[in-house]
Amino acid sequence: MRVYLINRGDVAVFQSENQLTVNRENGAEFVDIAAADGEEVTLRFYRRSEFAAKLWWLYAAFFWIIGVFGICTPRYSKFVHALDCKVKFAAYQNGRIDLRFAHYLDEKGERAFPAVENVGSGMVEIEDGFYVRDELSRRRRKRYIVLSNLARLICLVVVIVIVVKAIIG
Amino acid sequence: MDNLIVKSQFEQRLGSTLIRLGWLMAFLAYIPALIMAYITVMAVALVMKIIIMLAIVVCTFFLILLNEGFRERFRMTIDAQEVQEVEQFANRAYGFFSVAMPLMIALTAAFIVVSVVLAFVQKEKKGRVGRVVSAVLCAAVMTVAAVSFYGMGA
Repeated sequence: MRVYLINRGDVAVFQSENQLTVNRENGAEFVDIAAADGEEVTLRFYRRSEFAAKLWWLYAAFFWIIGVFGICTPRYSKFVHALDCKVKFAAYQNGRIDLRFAHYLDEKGERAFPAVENVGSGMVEIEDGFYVRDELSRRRRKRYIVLSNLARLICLVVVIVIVVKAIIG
Repeated sequence: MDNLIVKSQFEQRLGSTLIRLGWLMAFLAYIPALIMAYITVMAVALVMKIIIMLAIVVCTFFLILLNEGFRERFRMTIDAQEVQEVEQFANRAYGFFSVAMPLMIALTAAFIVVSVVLAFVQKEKKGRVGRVVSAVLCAAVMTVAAVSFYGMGA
């Protein structure tokens, strides 16, 4: 059985604590589920920011250093919010389920925007299919950006001072 | 689950960072070739200037040579000190790169290999093809830089 994942982004897929390999075919992403006919399958879609980790500062500092002042490391995602969604369905041979993802969180909290939607004809039950605000990661990301730019500036000033001293000396 | 996610994110970021570092090394390896190119371009520009001026002289049936200002333009003095400084700079750069180049080649190769291995080890297949293409291009760019450097007799 196949579960197609439209616009998945960086959401990881788990089945009973094992991360599934997301395959790609003709531009469409999917995961193959090995289950007997009629067996209930629970998939967990999980996403969290890199800044949500306990030792986020060590992680960020490591990549800032090996990435040459953070220039050679990819930018951290602006979208820091967390997703921990469970999708339950009954497996059947050659069946298919289509799930569409939306990476959006209404900042004002006026409306709940579903992160995972069933857009196919298969019957699925979606639990916690909404992004959860992660204010801590957002603050950490902002702090990282400020500190990173400040450190770059300090390094630049130090280099200029050394060069000027070398020229004058 | 959190540990798996952290591991996956770490591997992805490490792979991307290493391939970028590989590209940085590959571009830096072109510095000696650029120095050589600069000297060559300056020499070619001087020759081109003389050819163009001679063409102007012929086109004006040598009448332009009556002009004092134009004749002045033919006087090209080469500052010996300037040439010496450029030569010294080029020699210093080659001296540095003769030591740094093998290191840069080795580092680029290591970055590329680790990055590609990480791309294949991950459960996340997204970006795998792009990573491999980038790695191949980076290796090709570095090879050209290395060949041009050692081809120049450094």
